[in-house]
Amino acid sequence: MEELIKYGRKMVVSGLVDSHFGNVSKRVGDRMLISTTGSMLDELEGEIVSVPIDTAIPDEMDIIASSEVNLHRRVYDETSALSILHGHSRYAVALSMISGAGSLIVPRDSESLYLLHEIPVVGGGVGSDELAESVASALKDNKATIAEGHGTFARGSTVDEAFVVLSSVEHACCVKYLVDMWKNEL
Amino acid sequence: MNPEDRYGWCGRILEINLSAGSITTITPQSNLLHEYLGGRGLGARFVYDNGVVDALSEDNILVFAAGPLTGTPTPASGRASVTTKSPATGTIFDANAGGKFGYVLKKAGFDAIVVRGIAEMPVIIEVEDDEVDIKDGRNLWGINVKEATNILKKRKKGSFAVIGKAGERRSNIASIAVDGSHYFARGGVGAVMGSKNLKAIVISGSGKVQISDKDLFEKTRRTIHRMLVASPTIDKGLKVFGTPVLVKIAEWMQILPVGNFSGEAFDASSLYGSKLKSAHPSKRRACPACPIGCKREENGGYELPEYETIAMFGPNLLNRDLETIIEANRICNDYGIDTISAGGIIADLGVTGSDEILGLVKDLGESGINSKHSSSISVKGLELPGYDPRRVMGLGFSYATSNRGGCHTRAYMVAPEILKKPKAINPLTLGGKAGYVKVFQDRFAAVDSLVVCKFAFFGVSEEEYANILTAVTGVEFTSEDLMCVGERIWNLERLYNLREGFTRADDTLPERFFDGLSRDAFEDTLDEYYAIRGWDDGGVPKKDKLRRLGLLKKE
Repeated sequence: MEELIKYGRKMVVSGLVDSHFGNVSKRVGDRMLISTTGSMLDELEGEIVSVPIDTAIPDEMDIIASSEVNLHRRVYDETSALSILHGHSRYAVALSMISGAGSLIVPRDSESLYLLHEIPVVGGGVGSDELAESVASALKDNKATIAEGHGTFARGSTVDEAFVVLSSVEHACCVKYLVDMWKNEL
Repeated sequence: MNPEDRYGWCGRILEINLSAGSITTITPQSNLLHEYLGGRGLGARFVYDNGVVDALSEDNILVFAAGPLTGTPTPASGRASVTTKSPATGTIFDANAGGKFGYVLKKAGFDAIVVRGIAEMPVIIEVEDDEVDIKDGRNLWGINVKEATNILKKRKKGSFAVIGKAGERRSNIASIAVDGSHYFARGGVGAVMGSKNLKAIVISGSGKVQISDKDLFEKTRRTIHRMLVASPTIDKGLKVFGTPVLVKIAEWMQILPVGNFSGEAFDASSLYGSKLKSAHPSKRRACPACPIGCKREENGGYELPEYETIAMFGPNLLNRDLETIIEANRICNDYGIDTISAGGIIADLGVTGSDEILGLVKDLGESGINSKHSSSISVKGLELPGYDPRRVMGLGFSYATSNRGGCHTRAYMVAPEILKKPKAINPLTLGGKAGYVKVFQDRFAAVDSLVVCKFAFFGVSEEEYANILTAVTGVEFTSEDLMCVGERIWNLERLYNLREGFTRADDTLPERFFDGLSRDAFEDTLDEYYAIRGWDDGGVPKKDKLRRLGLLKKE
């Protein structure tokens, strides 16, 4: 729980998200810790709940968990991820809207290219089963994906690793946006 | 009927004087309907205009009222209200219930029934469209709710408002049961009915509520329905567990009312909604036109306890036995007593054992004990519901400023502070709560007058209901108009209570809560609240405010 509080705050401080716009989770066995709906990521003390990963087990805490709790479930169910961070990072959102769902964003800078290879952009409404399926599918082969017009989903084996990935996606998108602008390729 | 009010409203109010045995029909003025809508608002206007009376005297009135949306397929509109002067609080008081009563009242062609006077002997009011009769009810007197309702159901089809023994004995925690499974629960409204020797009201009707703009109505109805079923609070919570979904969340937030609000910790895991669901398979029940279906009924027709009952008979009594709570709930409902107040009174007596609890519940039903004279944890004489105000401070502030005493539904701060809807706000501060509580009080005064279920507002805003009200009535309403109606009703209720002698000193919480709450912060918030409301430092509405709300002329 302390890790989620720490990295939630770092997400805001680093400018990866504007306080409310995102959610964080960590898998603990057959359950996960996840931020509550509408919570501020820089004030997560007392705002993290535990819910089962199995959707067949209805849990009362689901109604105050992040509205994207089922997406997190799907990713944990279909991948080996142990943490998911989601932020409405500005450059990632902008580039996803320029590229469109189904495209791949290929970083221009060497660090991001090395770490991320490519970043798939997926479609689906916020909170929808379609988005959950698309994100889970994309994260089987990638460390991160961007939901078009919505934001980045980053996975990791630790919360720290997911944070590095989330930061890298935003860095990659920022650099690519600036370079593409300069070269009139947007 | 005024021709302009033929849509939504019936334009007719039934007035029955039990002392005189008279039955008359009133045609309400259009402005009365437009300014107060129906339900709680209409009731408040009638009860205010009835003057200063003793709650259990011949002079008090009971106003059963539906709203302009009741009887239409508007989602979550299947409710009704009853307004009177409460024998428990001495305030104006409206209680709100689901079931078919409001729906059938409208089908019978009435917006409201105003009951005056006292019958010489126990009676039943029977309404079948325009046929209204006052009948001998002596054969039902002394019979509790389930049996009395079943007897009436064999005689007539329709909807039934019935009191049990507690109401007959004028217990000021007596409720009125609707169709044997829903309750006008709080404030001793059942005692007022009992004081009138009125055992039951039976209504049936064959009419139809007219809708002004059917295309706009259907479009808006679909929008509301879609938003309701998409709400996680409804879809994953109320539909799956009913209101007991809150037990686990309240435990997690440490806001359960433990040991008569002593502020202790409590393991409520044996009382979770999921435990109740698995231990007691039940049918999901819904009021007319409701896609939520929050009630749970076991085989045999007994409803399972709601969150409030579990909280008040569970942690509040340091009781972890779910079966005791289920039985206490059954007894309360059959005698017709309010489970929140009953739990509060028993906690005040320090009782925690199952047998003692159940014995005391029966005693409460049989004896008509007067809770107002107890030292139970109350505001303005109404026992507090199942949320400790030390850790949900806006909700606690709404208890203190409620026009009907210790009640969670006046501002329904449960939504933002606990369920984080429509927006999550920090429950652990009074900062900003003065404005929030004021807005939510006005909002739900209007909602109670439509009459719509508060649970709908987990997924929908007043904007959608303003749109559908416009479609139904043909009268243009904006969301701001609804808020203005709500503010008018809130201020009228305040004027009633001031006339009864209530003052700023009554807008407070029991002393024990100021071990966790700052008294200074509370008083500062009260000052801010009065200022936002346009009231003076003593909590009296200023003339400008009353003039703006159209209330000055009535003063």
